[in-house]
Amino acid sequence: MNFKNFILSICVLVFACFLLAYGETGFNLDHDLILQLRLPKVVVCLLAGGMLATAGLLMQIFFQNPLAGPDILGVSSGSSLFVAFWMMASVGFSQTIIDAGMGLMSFMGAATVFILLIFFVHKNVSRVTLIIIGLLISSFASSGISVLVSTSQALQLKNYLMWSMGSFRDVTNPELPKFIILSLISTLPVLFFIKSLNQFLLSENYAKSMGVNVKKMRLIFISLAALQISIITVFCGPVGFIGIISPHLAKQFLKRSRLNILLPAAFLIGALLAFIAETVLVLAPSSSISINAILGMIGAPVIVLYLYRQREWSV
Amino acid sequence: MKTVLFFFLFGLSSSLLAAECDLKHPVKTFQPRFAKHYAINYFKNFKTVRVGSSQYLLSSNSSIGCETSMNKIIIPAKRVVMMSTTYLPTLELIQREDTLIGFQGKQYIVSSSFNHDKIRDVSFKFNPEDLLNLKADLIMGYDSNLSNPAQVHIFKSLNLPVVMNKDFEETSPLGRAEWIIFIASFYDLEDKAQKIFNMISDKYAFIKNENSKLPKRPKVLVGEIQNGYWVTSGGKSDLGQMIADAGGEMLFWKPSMQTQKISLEELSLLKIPVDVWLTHNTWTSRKQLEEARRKDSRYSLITIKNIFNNNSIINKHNSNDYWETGMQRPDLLLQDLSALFHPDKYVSHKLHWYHKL
Repeated sequence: MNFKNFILSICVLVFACFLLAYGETGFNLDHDLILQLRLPKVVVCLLAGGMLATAGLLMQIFFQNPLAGPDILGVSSGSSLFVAFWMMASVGFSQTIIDAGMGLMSFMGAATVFILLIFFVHKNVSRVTLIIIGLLISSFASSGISVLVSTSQALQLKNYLMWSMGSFRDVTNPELPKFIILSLISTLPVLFFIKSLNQFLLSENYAKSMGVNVKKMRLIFISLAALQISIITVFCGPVGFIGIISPHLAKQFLKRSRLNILLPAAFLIGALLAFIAETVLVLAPSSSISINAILGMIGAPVIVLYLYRQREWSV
Repeated sequence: MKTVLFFFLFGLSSSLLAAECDLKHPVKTFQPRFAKHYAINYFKNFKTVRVGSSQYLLSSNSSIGCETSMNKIIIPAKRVVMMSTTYLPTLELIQREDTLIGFQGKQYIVSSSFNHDKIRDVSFKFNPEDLLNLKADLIMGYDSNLSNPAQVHIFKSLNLPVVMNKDFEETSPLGRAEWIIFIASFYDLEDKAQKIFNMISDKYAFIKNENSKLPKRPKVLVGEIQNGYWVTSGGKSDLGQMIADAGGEMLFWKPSMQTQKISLEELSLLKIPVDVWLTHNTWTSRKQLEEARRKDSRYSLITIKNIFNNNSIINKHNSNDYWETGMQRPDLLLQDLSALFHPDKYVSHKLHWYHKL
């Protein structure tokens, strides 16, 4: 294992142990408390943060765009729009149907946006244009959500608003195995394609010249990223910034871009960011800050700093 | 001579007009007992209503010639547009349901007293053209509809009779209920409304007094798990105050009007059993509740004896009468809560909005 990745792993482990031992009630090692509340939270932070970072990295490689990410390119928004529609429309259905529908709608939302983005990539739009398209998709999704909100009942509205704030705390013990299995299914396959991804990292044409089945790989990347984002959207709500900033922080930290080192580093940094946000919430229990507000405060300056450093980056 | 006569007549008419429009010396002033955000001044030929910093001149004479910056409203209102379900019980109580011709989201109306076919849906943000088209003589909204001063200026220049209602800013259940007199003033029915309100406040005071003599104060938990937190009402909210007045002890009481987020870890420290849990969820049966609790094991962190929801009366769109009539009838709501907390004392009480899950 790379030494820097080892350091990151230690940091993740320290945060995980801290959040298992310390909560709003202080240092309390009550068995029930740890198993019912803290363990699911720690597992979700680890996997959701890591998955967001992985999805962000995949998108940045696939779109050859350093500003690509689930939130910037509108994938999270598309997923949220479909979930919001389902939340408002599924009144009166049984809980099992509501839960199944949430997952399906979230995936459909993410996949729909991906398909749209791929269409534009095939039309050879520039990187900046692609980001503008992503922002427009987000704007469209926000408008759609506004329409849904204006026609919904107070209780559904409240449920939706709470969900849209994002949270790593809303996965319960019975749901946890499902979340872990889905996370592994969507993340582990990425490891098998590291070689092809490395070739994609240089350029799509290079990958093609090295014998990579570009069409097939593209489909695999998109499906995996869409699956990862939809899993997070269903279980945690829309979570911003981790997807876009983790790969950059990993590159800055490692000073290398080979994926067999970069991918684990991005995953660990994603998890670390999730742990940091959750730690803030634990240390400020009386505040009503949402996880997205904390991540926004960390993420936005990082993106601005990146753009400043890359100011020669042209349209 | 002609000039002298002209100036004499001009002076006479001006002084008569000035006397007619003397806004400094009201004949009578109505200051509500509980509500803090409105007052009514009565003059010889008209009355003025103050809501926060806005004032309205109400008169039955459409040609009243007062030069004032106040919006003039012709009363009694015959065609009204309203934006909140909390205004509707007043129309029912003063028997003016037939005047409602526009409403924002009529699917929210639960009461069957209103003729839905006659009511037009209006948009949440006031649309001047739409409102002009409705030819309403009273349009009542709240801060969110009327937050833009430029928009208010447009309404005024178009002579749209738009009036602000601030019942949501009241800090007590009776304060909110007392807005019945405010709405009734646009129908010239203040006396009738005052009698109804006196009945409500007397009944409320009586129940509160009875409950204060009871030795037992059951522990009451409000809210449910949302986004990994226990989301509950503030201790100074209407519900918080009513729980205290109904002889209950609200758990996680905080001196705030706002919704509170309590960490589940804090909830887990609650070692005593909860006597009453008031959930405001969509659950309508024990089966639905059990299914939800089975799925979310975190509910097992607390021991609960009795669980009640407030959705006994809902319409086909799942809109809940608790947020309509319940908000304007604190006496009935207090009766419901008292019966939940002290079933032995209120044996014969039939619950209005709450039901046991």
